[in-house]
Amino acid sequence: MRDARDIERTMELCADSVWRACVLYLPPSEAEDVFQETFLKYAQHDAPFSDEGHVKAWLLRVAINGCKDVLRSARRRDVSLDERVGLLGDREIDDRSASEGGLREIIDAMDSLGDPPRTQLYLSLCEGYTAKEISRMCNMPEGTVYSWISRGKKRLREVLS
Amino acid sequence: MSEKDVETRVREAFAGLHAPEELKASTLQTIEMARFGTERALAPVRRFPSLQTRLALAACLVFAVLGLGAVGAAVLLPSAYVDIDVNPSIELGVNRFDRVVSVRALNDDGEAVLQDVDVVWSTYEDAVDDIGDELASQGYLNADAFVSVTISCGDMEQYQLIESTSRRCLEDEAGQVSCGHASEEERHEAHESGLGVGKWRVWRDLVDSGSSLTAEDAAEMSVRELRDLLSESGEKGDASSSGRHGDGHHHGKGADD
Repeated sequence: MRDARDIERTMELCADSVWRACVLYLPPSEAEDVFQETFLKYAQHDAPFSDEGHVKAWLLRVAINGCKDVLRSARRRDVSLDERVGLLGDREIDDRSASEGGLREIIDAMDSLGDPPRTQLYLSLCEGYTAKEISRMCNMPEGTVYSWISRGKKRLREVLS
Repeated sequence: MSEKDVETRVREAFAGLHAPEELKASTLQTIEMARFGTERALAPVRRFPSLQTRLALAACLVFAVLGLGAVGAAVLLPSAYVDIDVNPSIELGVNRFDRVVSVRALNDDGEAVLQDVDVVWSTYEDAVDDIGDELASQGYLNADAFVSVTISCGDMEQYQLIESTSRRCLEDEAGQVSCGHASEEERHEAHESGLGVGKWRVWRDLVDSGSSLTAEDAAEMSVRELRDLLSESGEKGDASSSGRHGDGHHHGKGADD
């Protein structure tokens, strides 16, 4: 098991990214569970990482896969948007940079895109990964990633306009 | 709306979202509980109805593995953390029942000491006795040694018990023993720097007095060496004298206490 200092440091560096990815897919109560499981898996993952970027990419991949596992269960397939976003209190949302309404609209719009391109678009726009990096994270050819991101941006613009 | 505008809106919406501090803290607690139990017991972690329920269930699992029954998380979770710095730096987590429920080395020398002692579930007194014996056998405790014991604890009664026990167990063999209180913030910051709180305080005093000593260098030095350096730089090395040290209570039998 990893050293506690290593885990605390990684938590400080990557918690926000992992949390955002979880909230993109799940309501807060379930996002919390996936968040915990993700870091527990990290603590139990003894193989070395090459650098902090590698750690973050690994965590995001585990978190997103965990969210998709939850979504695959039939009872959670139709989680309403209200449940997903409405439960987010002031604690989770920094009013200075994002209103609850803004986040609600964005998650709603990204939801409507389906997956793909939701994951690819999120990793590109919010986490700043290149198509090459996303291709490795999603196990998808680079050209296909480009295509999904491009298509996703176009559809997102239509939905948000 | 341009594509650029859309991208900006998405980025800004998510940028305002931060992981709740409570979730981060409870996740770290869950991990420490898994570390304390067996990884196998907690490996197939599934979702629970709520975070609180999950923590309680995790505690029960660990107890089941240990055959102790479902007594409650209070037994498993430390209510006090004690950093012992000589040169080896070691952190002990002590529960409300005066049992050591977690132990970890904060540097390589601490690791070497802990290789030969097993103090989990010992009473705090037995644990400090064992660690003291090992420190002495490895040559760290002698008339010249300075031992710093810092206690992060919200319960004054427990703090006083740990402080008096620490002094009783260590003063016979160490030249000086200093005990003090540390806030959670200080503890966190010290560990982030790779140091026990006692060492970290002296190192910070050194840095404040103009020293370019790095935390990595400090980790390799004994508390005595750091305090000597501080004395040379004209600063008073007694940790209790600095405002940064909060409401610490420091006692030692040495000349400068």
